[in-house]
This record gives sequence, C-alpha cells and structure tokens, in this order.
Amino acid sequence: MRTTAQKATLAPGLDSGSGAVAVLAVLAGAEAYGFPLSAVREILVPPPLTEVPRAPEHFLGVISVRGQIITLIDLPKMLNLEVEQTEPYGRVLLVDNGEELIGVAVDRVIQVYRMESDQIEFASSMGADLSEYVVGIGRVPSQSSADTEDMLILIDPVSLLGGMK
Amino acid sequence: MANSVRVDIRKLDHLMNVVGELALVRSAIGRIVDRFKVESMHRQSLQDLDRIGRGFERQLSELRTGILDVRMVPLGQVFNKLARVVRQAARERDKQVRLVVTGANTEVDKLIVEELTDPLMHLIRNAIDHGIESADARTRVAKPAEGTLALNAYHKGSNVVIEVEDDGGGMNAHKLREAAVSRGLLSADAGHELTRQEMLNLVFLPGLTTSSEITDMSGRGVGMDVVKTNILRMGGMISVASEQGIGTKITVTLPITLAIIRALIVTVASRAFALPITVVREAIPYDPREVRSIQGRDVITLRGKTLAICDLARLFGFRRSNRGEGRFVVVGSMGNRELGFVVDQLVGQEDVIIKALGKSLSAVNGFAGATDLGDQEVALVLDAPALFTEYFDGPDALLALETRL
Repeated sequence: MRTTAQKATLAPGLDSGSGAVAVLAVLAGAEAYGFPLSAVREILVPPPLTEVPRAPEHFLGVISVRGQIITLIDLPKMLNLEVEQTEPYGRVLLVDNGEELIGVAVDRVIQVYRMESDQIEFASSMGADLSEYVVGIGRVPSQSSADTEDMLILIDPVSLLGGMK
Repeated sequence: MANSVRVDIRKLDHLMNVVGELALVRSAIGRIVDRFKVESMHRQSLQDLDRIGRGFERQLSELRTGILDVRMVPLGQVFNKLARVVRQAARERDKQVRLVVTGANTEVDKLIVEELTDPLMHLIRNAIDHGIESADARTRVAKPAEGTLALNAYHKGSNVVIEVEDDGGGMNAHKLREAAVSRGLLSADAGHELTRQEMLNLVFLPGLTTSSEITDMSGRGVGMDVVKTNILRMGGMISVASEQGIGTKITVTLPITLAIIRALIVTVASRAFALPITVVREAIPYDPREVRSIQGRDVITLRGKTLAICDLARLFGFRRSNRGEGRFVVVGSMGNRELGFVVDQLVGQEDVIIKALGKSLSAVNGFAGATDLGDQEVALVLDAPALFTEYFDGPDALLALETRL
C-alpha cells in the first residue's frame, strides 16, 4: 500500500516517462531536500515552539497554527544524519499527507524546480541504504556554477507522516 | 426524534476550531484596544469598542457551549444495546437476570458514548458469566432466584459516573492474590502485605486474565486489564468494590466531554502545562525541607497524612534555574489515590479546548493533548490518569511495592 502511495505523491507523471513534477527545494542542516510541491501546504515564519517531553529526539515539539496543534520535526535527525538542524531554523513547511499536517523545520527555502524523471535517481534503483522516508536523489543545476549539479534528497511525505515512529 | 439531524462529528470539531480562532481574534483586538488606551485619544470610542468586545466574548462562549451541547447524547443509547447483551448472556448461561437501569438520560460526549460500548459490554458479560450465580445456587443461600444487574449513570461535577453492580457471588480477594503470585506477577512476600482492596485491584493486572484456570477459580478477570486501558485512554478511572456472597460493583468515572475542560495552568521550568481541574484538590506551597524519602519516593506530610509527590521537572527531564523557593505542590486526586505534583508557578484557571497531539506523537505517554493559550503559545495538557497509573502502577511502581515489603 505504501509503494502506491509513494508514487502517487511524488510523481504521478514520472512513471509514464513524460511530464515534470514541481519540487520545493529547502536547506536544512547543510543538506538540500526536495518536497513535492503538491504536498506543501504553507511556508511559515516559525511560530513559538513548545517542546514535548519524552518525545523521540527528532520531534522538536508542537506549534499552533491557527488553532491547530502541529508536530514539528527535525528533518536531518529524522533521517539519522549526523548533521543537526541549526538553530534557530528560518522557516517551517507545513506538509500534508492527506491525513495529518506536520511541520518540518528548515533553514531556508531555496526555490521550486520542475524536475523531469531523468533528473531523479529513485532509491529503489540505487540499492543504497537510504532512509525509508527518502524517495531518491534529484539532480538540479547548481546555483553557484553553471557546469555542476546540486543534489536534492527527495522526501516522501506519505511515509514521513504516516510511517513515523 | 423527527426533528433531529445526524451530523458528522468532524464538522463539529471544525466549528469548534473556528470558535477557537474567533477567541484568538477577540484577544488580539483586546490588545490593540489596550495599546490605544495608553495613547488615550478617542476615549469614548475606545470604551465603546471595549464594551462591544466583551459582548462578543459572551456570545462566543455561548456559541462554544452550544456546539458542545450538540455533541452530547444520552447514555440510554448504549444502555439499550446493553439490555440486549444482558438478555442474550443470561439465556446462554441459563441464569435469571433482571436489569435495572437508572440515569439513562445522563448525557455525555458522543465520542465517549462510542468508546464506552465495548468496555461496558465486557463488564456486563463478566457480571453475568462469573458474578451472578445460577438460580439453584442463589436459592440455597436464601437469595432471590433472579439475580439483579444494576446499571447506574449520574453526573458528578464535570464527570459522569457509571456503575455496573451485581448481587452475585462477589470476588474472592485471596484467590486473586494466589493467582497473581502463581503467575509471577507478585512475589509471595509482597502478596502477604496487600490490603483486601489492593488484592481486588489485582484484577486489573494484565496477565491475570489469560488463564481459564483463574476465571474458574476467582470468577473474574477476563480482559479487565483491557477494559481498564480503554477507560484510562478516555481520561477516566475504574475501580472495583466487592463483598463475597453479596456482590460486585465496578465504578467507571469519565469526563463529560473530551473537547473542553477547565484547567489549572501551571509552569514547570518556564513551560506552561494545563492540569484538568477535576483532578486538582488543592495547591499548597512547597517546602523542600519537608520532603522525606521513603524507598526512593519523595513524600511530604499533609495534615498528618503521607502524600507522595512527583516533581514534574524531574519527570520530564527539565533543568530548573532556581533551587526550589516559591514552588507549589498541586495535590491531585483520582479515586482514592492522591499524588502531589511539584510545579514552579500557578498561573490560574482557564477553560481550555483540548486538541489531540498528532498521530506521530500518540506514543508519548503523559499528555492528553495540547491547548492554545492565545498568542500561539501552546500548553501541553497533562494526562492525569496516565500519570497516576505510571506513578502507582507502572513498572517502577511495582518495584517500589516489592522493595517496600
């Protein structure tokens, strides 16, 4: 069931080999991540954070967005990366999986890319030991120099929200 | 009945969110008015605005009450289902059972009613399977051949109490203890020190429920731990009273609504927490010099009685800046248990709308939800039943029981 959901969220058009998907690139703890734009509801200036004692480390706490209580997560920690979310983080993404809205703390928003399927290496084909929350790696033209490419860690919002432990 | 509508409860949740939003708008307007007051230009207009604002607030709280009211349904809905269960179970077991229901009009939140059906059904089956004796056995001990099963509901403060009472054979406390000891849930030494009530409470232990042997012996204990877990999850309490030969009474206490509660706002290490007022009995100044330690547990003496205390900062792993001056002990009581929570400051009482923590945080124990205090400041709502259970019945608590003996 999760695999179908994965495809559905990141790239409905990618499997057919045609069409691009809009990806929101963000920077968090020195790494660049990509979220399917369709799953990002809102980008916020971080509201006051209330930490939740006894919660696993990758939960920063909860925030209130127009009366709704939303869990805020630390993306690098969630993916078991050594790097830590730098504090204070600059923005909060509200990401939706159709079931729950979740806040993702990021340093800043880079830009929106339209990615073709040949720009994405899917985790399944890489065979690498990637986190279950990662769909794959996306390559985009570098912002610093025209000849190189930057890499985006593409996040699967469905597993991020639903499969959280 | 003809004039009623069925409403998806999520629509009501949504309306409640809107009300919460409006309350925040209202307080924002209030702050602007206050700011203008300092500059004191259009004095008259400001007074008018202030007055209108207060009227707005009154209407808002009426709207909130109204929405909550829509969520309320009479317990009779569940009781009707249960009446069928009683007839069926009595027939299966070939017993004569008369069901007496009082308080079917008592209203509770729709969500609670739905969650309540299974646990109550369990209690009723237990009462008929193991509580009420066969007509022969009853006649032998000069009881009426027909057993009585009473289902009583009534409001008590902001709680609703539901009692399931039978006039059957009652529970054998000593057999419960033996069963717990033979299952290794309790050491024999510890078992000897238990009071009768403590022995009866063993019926809620998980693991005491699995064996058919125990069911035959003690007559009780089928899935009682599951019943208890369900009740606790709803923010309720369950207790048992039983006299051998006379009968058994299970008392379930639940909040009337899960959506809005009156809470005492406290701070612990500069963080705000809300404690449901229903469990708060009083708050007293905390004096670190009065704290004694009994088997690793901190206690104080309150009016000649020993009160266990639990420092929330320590429980939650917060580091405090000061050394304990000016703190308070909030005395909580649930059923016949009391526990003092050590907090830094008492902020005041407030009606708060409890919002569930996201699914992602559902595994975190000790919080019933969170609430927006305005200005986007969030306070976690303490889950008092869970904290009580953790303190008195948790793995650490059992350990403490063992070491005490």
